[in-house]
Amino acid sequence: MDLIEAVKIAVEKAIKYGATQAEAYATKSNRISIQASNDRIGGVKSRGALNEVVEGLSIRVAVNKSLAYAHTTILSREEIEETIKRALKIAKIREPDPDFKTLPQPKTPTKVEGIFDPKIITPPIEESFEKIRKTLSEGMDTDKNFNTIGASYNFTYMERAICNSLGIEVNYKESMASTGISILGERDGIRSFGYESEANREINKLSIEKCLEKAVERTKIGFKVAKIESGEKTVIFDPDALESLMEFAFIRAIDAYNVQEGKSYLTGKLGTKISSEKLTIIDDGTLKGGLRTTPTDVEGVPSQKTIIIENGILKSYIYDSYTAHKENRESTGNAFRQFRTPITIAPRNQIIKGEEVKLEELIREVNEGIIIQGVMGAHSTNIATGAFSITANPSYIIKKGEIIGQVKGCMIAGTFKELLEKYTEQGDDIKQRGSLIAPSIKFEKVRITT
Amino acid sequence: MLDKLSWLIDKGIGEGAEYVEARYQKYQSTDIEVRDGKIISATPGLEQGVAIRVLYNGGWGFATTNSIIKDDLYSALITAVKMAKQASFDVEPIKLAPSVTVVDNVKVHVREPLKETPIEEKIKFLLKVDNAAREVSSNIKTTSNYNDYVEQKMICTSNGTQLEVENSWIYWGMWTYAREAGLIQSYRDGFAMLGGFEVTEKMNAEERSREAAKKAMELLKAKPAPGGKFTVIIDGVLSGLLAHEAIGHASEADGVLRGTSILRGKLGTRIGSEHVTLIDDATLMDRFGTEVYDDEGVKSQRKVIIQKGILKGYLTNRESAGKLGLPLTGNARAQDYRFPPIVRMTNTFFQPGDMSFEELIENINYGVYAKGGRGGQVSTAEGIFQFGAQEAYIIRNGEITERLRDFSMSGFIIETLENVVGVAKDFDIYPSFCGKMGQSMRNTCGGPHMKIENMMIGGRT
Repeated sequence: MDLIEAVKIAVEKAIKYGATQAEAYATKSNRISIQASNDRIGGVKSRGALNEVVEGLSIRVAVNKSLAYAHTTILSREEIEETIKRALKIAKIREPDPDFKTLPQPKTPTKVEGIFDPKIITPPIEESFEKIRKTLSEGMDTDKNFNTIGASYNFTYMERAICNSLGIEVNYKESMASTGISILGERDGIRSFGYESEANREINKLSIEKCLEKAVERTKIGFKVAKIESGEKTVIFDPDALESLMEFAFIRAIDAYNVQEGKSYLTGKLGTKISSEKLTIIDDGTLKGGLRTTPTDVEGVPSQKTIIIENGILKSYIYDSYTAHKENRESTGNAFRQFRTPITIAPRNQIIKGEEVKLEELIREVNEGIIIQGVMGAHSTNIATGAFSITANPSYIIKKGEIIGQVKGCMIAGTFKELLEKYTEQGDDIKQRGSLIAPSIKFEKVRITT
Repeated sequence: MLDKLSWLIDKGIGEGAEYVEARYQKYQSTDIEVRDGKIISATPGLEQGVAIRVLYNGGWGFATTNSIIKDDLYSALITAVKMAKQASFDVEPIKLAPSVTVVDNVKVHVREPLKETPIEEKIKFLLKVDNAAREVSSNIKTTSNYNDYVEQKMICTSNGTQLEVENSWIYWGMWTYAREAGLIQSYRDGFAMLGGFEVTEKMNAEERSREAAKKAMELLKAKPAPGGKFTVIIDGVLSGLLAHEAIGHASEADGVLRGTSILRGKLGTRIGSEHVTLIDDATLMDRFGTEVYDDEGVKSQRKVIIQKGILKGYLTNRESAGKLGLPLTGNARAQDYRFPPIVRMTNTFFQPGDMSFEELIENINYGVYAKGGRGGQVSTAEGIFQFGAQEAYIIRNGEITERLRDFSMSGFIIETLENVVGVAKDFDIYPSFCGKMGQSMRNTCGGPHMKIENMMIGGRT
């Protein structure tokens, strides 16, 4: 059964069996993932290709003010009916929820571009393996101290269909492609790990060669270990590192569920200064080719642009329809789900804007500091306070404007709000990492422990 | 269904594959979330799918489908074979370690089947647990989750292995938030076990919930931790995290094979002090990481990874054991039908020693006592790990003094194990889900109180 047919049947049957409102969401994804790794001892160690095909349907029913979900991966008429009955049973035993007003009303989906590359339907598997083979052997030849290199490609084709009893009926296709290289080397007893990855909606825009180049550069810098004293230093976050930290230290704090329940450090801070006034953060679900761009969110609410921070002032949180209706406002189109989970809130493309300089200049101006490419332990951030305590790894020391080597085991602790206050400027090396679209970002006087 | 799987195996061999493995899985789940006493969602789910893995001339191919119609299964098999052929150029031949052919049927012991427990009962349980925390003080807010899972699994391999497995488990977890004069602190706890609804009685959930609320309140009075290197005492939950993050992952032989573990080439050598003995035991009754067979059909077991500081073994799957000439340990596990099995831990813990807590602490002039885990992470390639603690205290002259908050510890695997200078005789174990290569896996980790010198703490002062 195709997805749009499945969601229409589900909504129709749910109303027939006694739901006052109903919504169905179905997805089908086809992911092809290929990977190989090379080892100086013994050559290619493993090669594999994987094709994961998963489809599923989730139903959300309202019986007056009681909401319930159920989901299944069996998309037959009989099983869809059974799933509806399971959801209705729960809606009937639940206490009514006075905060639930209605499912979203239909609105015209936003016209977006660049989210579907038809090549994703039959991705270039052989060609990609060939590129991997070439990259692995070239990479090994670059430096005799490289021991293992891993390379991968991922191609995901996704279809979604959303339908509700108020008249929403949306379906769309998406493509997602990514590639990555990781290198592990050892010189004079010093282990160095360098990596780089890229993700794009379009297959042809990926460059495994560029990933190799960057990973080689990072691994080589890492062969030199330098020392830096504990203290307040200049810290530059690469988008890779910032994205991991922001997911736990910022995105969850602007999630309307956490805000409304008073579980976020940003509760009650709307209209106040929470960062350097040079900083602006926009949540944009409409950006051409963005990895988090779609015509609507998973409730069928049109995608939009939401200003989160403007010149240091907190302007908005992000909402789904439930949390928005609770405040008598409109959803920001940030509802997110997989068919197997209830609706939660997720960011779209989070764009960081500020004072931009060339990346080389950003580094050259640093007298003493570090540049962080990855962080460990971001998930232990306390969202109630924004306090984090992370290990900056890999990270590299900058002295007098030069990157002089890697620093092992450097830790940073503070609150995310303090960090945002310390923002000064950013580079021009804009990349998308997960939801984040940002270049390297500089913060001054950040306390590090080594 | 077993017939269909063995039919697939025959077809795969007919296509020229060296090895074929087909795994069917059907599972029913219930996910309930309660926030501040209000039911946010209660969701029943049903998933069904088949995973097919083939080895062809040294290359691995893998395909999944939600359909169990023969035509769809066959087309998934052909995809897997095609993938394996494309993956198989200039690769070292893979020799899977020989495994014993098993035909068996295993079930987790269940007294009150989850499928027959009305969802009202499950909601009632979670509401009671959630309320217990908020009864401690009106300043407490909560988020509580209940997940249960009933799984029927069948594994067929071209070795002739045919397994039918029934699993059943419950996980409960919560966050408590304490608020006072503009300050907010949080604390998390939870527990999980294999079994039916009866295990909710063994979890001590209400008591743990009240404790979690008290801890969050106490953290309001804590100060940010100092940064630097200290002698630390960690409790059993944290030593479990250390067992899991710092050494457990590095002892997984797939990483050793790929050259991405710092423990490669270290078998039989000293990697820690004599106080360090590390076990991975899949055979513990009811524990969240327990299995009877792994997803390659290999019998699960108890393994000594480190004995008195000497590295004794790695955790293996058939590929890594075959290539590295190691014994099979039955650690190949897959999250569900969407994933191939990879090397995973089960129940991983440090063995207790013979010291009392007082003996551990008495000679510390200035140090830190840390308790409760807030998750961890490791880079096995570089040998560096990090984990967060929930609460901590400054130790002064052998006495526990002021309370600290917001901190984590980091170190290098081998250096840290060498710095373990004392191990208590107590023991604690904690269940969790661990993530590796995009797969989430149920497990437990544990250990006794441990004393470690020169541990790096990330602090704000």
